[in-house]
Amino acid sequence: MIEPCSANDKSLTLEYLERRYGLVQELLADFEFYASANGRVILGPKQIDPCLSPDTAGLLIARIGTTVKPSTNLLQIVGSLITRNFVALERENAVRYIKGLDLEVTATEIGDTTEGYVLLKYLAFPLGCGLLQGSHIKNMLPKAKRVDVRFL
Amino acid sequence: MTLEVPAAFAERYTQLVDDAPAFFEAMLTPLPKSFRVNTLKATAETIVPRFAGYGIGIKQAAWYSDAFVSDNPALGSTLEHFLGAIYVQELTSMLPPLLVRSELQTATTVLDACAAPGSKTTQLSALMNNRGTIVANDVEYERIKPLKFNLERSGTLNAVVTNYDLRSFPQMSFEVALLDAPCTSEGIFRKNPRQMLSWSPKRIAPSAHRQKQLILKTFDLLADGGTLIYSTCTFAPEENEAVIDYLLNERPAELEQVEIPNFRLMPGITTWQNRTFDERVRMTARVLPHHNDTGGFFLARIKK
Repeated sequence: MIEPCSANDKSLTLEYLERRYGLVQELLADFEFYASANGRVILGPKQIDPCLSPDTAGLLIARIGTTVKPSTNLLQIVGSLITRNFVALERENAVRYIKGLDLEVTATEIGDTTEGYVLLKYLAFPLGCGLLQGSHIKNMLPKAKRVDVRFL
Repeated sequence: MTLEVPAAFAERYTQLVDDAPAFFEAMLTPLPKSFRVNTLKATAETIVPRFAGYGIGIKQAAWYSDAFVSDNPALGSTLEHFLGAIYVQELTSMLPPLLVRSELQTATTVLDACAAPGSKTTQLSALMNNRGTIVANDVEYERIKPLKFNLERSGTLNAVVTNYDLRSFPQMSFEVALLDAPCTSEGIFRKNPRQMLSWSPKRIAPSAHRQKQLILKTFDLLADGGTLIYSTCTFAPEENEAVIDYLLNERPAELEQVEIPNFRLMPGITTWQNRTFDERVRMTARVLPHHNDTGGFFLARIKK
């Protein structure tokens, strides 16, 4: 079940996306923010008829706990607009990421990206979310999305 | 094991199709794999060179620039599939959203009445460029999970997922509605040939009964001037033309000619087993496997 998102959670999410990834807040202005269980923030259509009892709507874009955790859904959609805190992966690491494995990355690959949730890219393709801790990237790809990609 | 078309199936449909030998030969030929480019995430122009680089041969459909056919079973192992840039989907399944392509440019309320697993919902969303609201409903709760997964993978932001029995759906008003009705699925025997072995004409009447209930309800959910696309993946006239005939008798519905440029269609039939249907039913369309190398399908475009 979903409900309207509080103004506080909406601004927390938008400010985080702007601060960490350089995403302008107007980017998501055509959509509405909704809330679901356990701090889930959902981006969905502006209009949902009040007589409906939706199972869900739109996409899970973030989860708010001690910090904001962006979802792979969101990073795949807006990834091409992200200007900071991304890691461009080599082919082998991209395959490992899509398979669901954690990664070790070099200082060159990390560049000026800071620790925390990062976008992982391969070439120009936004793959999803990882948690950068030192030279280690914890895989945040949802289990259901993990596959063995042979062509990339 | 060599498959054969069941004798009763052959007897029933020999009289329906234009070229029975070609029809039955196509029914026994495996269905080519196909996919649709998800324009929320990619374009056909970007996908073609990527697949050429993989050495995976793909062929663009003449009737829909986002539709491709491939004999390669590796489509699901590509980066594009992981990213949701392509959606593996049967060609016939892409037809209903195409019939309302122009309406989707401005529509703000769209109903996909039997939405799971989401092939058509994600296509509708792409054709709407994520604008407006699509209510993606399915009565079977266990089919909601794959529906949600496919909406996520495709980057669909404008869908609302509901789990109503359509017959008790809240009274609302939609500009566009798709009713891809549950049916006896004779048109997908090419995809699942073993289903042909258990084919029985006894399944047709209960299915048709349910479809008549669903089409009345979906029509009632249309706004005045709204457009309903009724479709099935079966050949049985009882589930196709007879359902449309029933709607025309029960409601002030109008039919519009089904046309898809560069795609061969057979007009709906007006007589079947001593029954005569409303002449307007001729404006509906049948998709026969041997005409376009696809599965079988039925389409009707209805206005309120």
